Amino acid sequence: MRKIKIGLAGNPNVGKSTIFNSLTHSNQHTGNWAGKTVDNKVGIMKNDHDHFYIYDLPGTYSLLPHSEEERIARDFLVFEQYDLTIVVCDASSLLRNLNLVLQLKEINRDLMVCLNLIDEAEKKNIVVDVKRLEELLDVPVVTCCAHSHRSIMALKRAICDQVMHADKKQHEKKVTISYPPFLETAIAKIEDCLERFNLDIDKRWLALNILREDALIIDQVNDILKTDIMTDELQRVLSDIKMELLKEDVLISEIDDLIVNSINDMANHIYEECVHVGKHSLKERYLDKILTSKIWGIPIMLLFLAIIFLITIKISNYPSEWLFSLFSHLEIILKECLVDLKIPSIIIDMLINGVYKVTTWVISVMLPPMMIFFPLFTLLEDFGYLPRIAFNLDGIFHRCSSCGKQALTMSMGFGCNCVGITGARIIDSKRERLIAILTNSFIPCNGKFPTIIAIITMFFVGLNNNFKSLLLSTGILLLIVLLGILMTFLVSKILSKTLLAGYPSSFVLELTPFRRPRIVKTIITSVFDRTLFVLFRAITVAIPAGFFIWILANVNVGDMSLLNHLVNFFEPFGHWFGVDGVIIVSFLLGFPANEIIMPIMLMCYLNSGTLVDYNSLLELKTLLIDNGWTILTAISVVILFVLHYPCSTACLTIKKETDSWYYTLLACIIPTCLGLLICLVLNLLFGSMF
Amino acid sequence: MKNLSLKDIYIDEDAYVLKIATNSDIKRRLLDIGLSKNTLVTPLFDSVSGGIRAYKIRNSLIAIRDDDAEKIIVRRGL
Repeated sequence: MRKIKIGLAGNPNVGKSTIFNSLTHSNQHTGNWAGKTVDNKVGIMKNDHDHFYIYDLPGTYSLLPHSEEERIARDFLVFEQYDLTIVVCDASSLLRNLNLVLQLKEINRDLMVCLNLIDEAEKKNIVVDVKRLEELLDVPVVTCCAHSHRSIMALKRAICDQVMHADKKQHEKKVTISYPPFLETAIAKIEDCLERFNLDIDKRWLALNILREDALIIDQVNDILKTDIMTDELQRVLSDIKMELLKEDVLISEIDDLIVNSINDMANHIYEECVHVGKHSLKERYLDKILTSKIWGIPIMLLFLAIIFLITIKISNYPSEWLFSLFSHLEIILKECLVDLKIPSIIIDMLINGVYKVTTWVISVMLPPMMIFFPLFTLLEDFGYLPRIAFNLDGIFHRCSSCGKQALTMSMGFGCNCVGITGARIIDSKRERLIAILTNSFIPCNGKFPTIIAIITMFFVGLNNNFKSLLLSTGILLLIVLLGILMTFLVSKILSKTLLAGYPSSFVLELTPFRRPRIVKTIITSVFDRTLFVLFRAITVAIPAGFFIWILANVNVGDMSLLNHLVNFFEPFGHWFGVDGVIIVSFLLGFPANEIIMPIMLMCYLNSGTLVDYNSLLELKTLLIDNGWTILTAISVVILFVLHYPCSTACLTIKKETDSWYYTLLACIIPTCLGLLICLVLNLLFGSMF
Repeated sequence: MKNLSLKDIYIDEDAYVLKIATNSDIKRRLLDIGLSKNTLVTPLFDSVSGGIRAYKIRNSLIAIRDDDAEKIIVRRGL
């Protein structure tokens, strides 16, 4: 049994993750936009003899990285020990993909090309001569259509063959990229200086990068070798080379162009020999003309969003109720078991009313909307719509001096802010990436939706269960989301002028081809995925939170519980903002997870020692009105829901991504202050009317 | 004669890249996506919110901001 390590590389959005899933039977989330995978993922593929560890690398255009996720891929490909790289190419845009293939050839490790999406290319009348491509690249080429079982099996066989025969094969380079003569001389000279180092890395490639003065690569090599490769001898050679280049009228800064031009020339040559393009269909362009049209672009975007909300609101109530009743049955059984085990009643109370109640609440409230919203959103994503949103909104982000790709991370925030925050790695400029991270929580995530919807239904729409009120709730929800988006723009703009001042950086946005989403597969995968996510969250967040809240509600100091003391303490503070102490305390205690804010509120109002389930919205509304809620209170609570600090998990993600407590704190302070400010103004203006 | 940039090319008109007239980060990126010398580029459509345009480059659809397109020197195709 051997352990074989394989890297899966390629341009963004060529289907690496899909191939990875098929090879390793994983359920890695895939999407139709450039930058879906931002981290190395590893999975295992087995055959009779060996274990293949397959690494799904973030998409990269070249080995000279621009962004964080590209650097991750580059580090793996150049410096890691592995047995084989499979470079996945999109058969319909092979020309661009060849760029990376040729660069990978240069680092001279075992390589295999997987020509993916061959079916899509055929539809576009693009024919690739695989035999010729193999000859010209001197690398095995396998065609593949990742959704077909047969071609995945063929790919598996090819990988096994390749790895089996790798031992015997010599590393001899038949195909190399040839650079202009004066560069070749320079490379050879540098290579001579590197001769005495024992390197796993290809010397020609390293020489090229020393010539390019790539400090990152040099540092990394030094790190590995624990010595300085930039010897005095090499420094002398380098300064000689610079003099000679000057004579040729070439600046060091122009070397990159020369290198890329040589690679592109070679790619062009190979492309022309191997690829024949027939008449191209224009269907895609018509679709793009509509989706990005000046008149329809934005309305269509809002319509998609509205439809997703509508379906989520309409359907998610049912499974929620089933889960609630299931859990309350289980509660009785569980309680009996605990009593039978002669466990002290105070502990039973803590376990059932504290831990169990909070955990099951989180699951019942959170799981259904997530299970409906996420697959719908994923379908839109798989179709390839997200980059169009970014394209439509880029002008606004540009005026806010931020990156159009922020629209992508913003969209991901609907599902979960953590995903949006991690996804910000696709943004190259550090400044713009921070803006995207700091503003991500303005987009209400799935955990906030159920409560926002409940408040809308109770206070703004009325409790009639008909289609008109459904439409009205959808409309109001859409407005609330638009408020969040507006705040994103506003805060991005303010940040760009103050704390994160700077000019918009350059970027390119790939409008990936439309693909028909695989509906059944998507739904199954994302339901599974979300269920796991919610369960994980319930265990890590809700259980400790439940424990903590139970203690606050059940430990008395003087004649009141700790919780009541807290409420009374915050009461005057809350009044400033048109809310009460209970609401403030609920938000504070709801830090672990947004979805427990409402239940804590009810617990306080009812003065009960555990979370309270509301049987009907009518009952809930009566309870809230009895406790002094007005329309203004409802509006303020909704605003606070959209604009307050990110939940604990999101905060940890921010800390991890920015590696700074300062930015994490900032990400908490900005939305909270904004929310409180708006509530304060509303209260000052309208407070006297209610 | 003033240099013609990609920004000046009309929608659906063909152009060929002559050079990228900047040394900033974007240059490398543009080269990576295949905008090397003599590559065919065709602008296809503008964004609603302005400031960015989608181009057909080597069979892919790629959006580039006008600020950056200004730095790509091209000649009109025939």
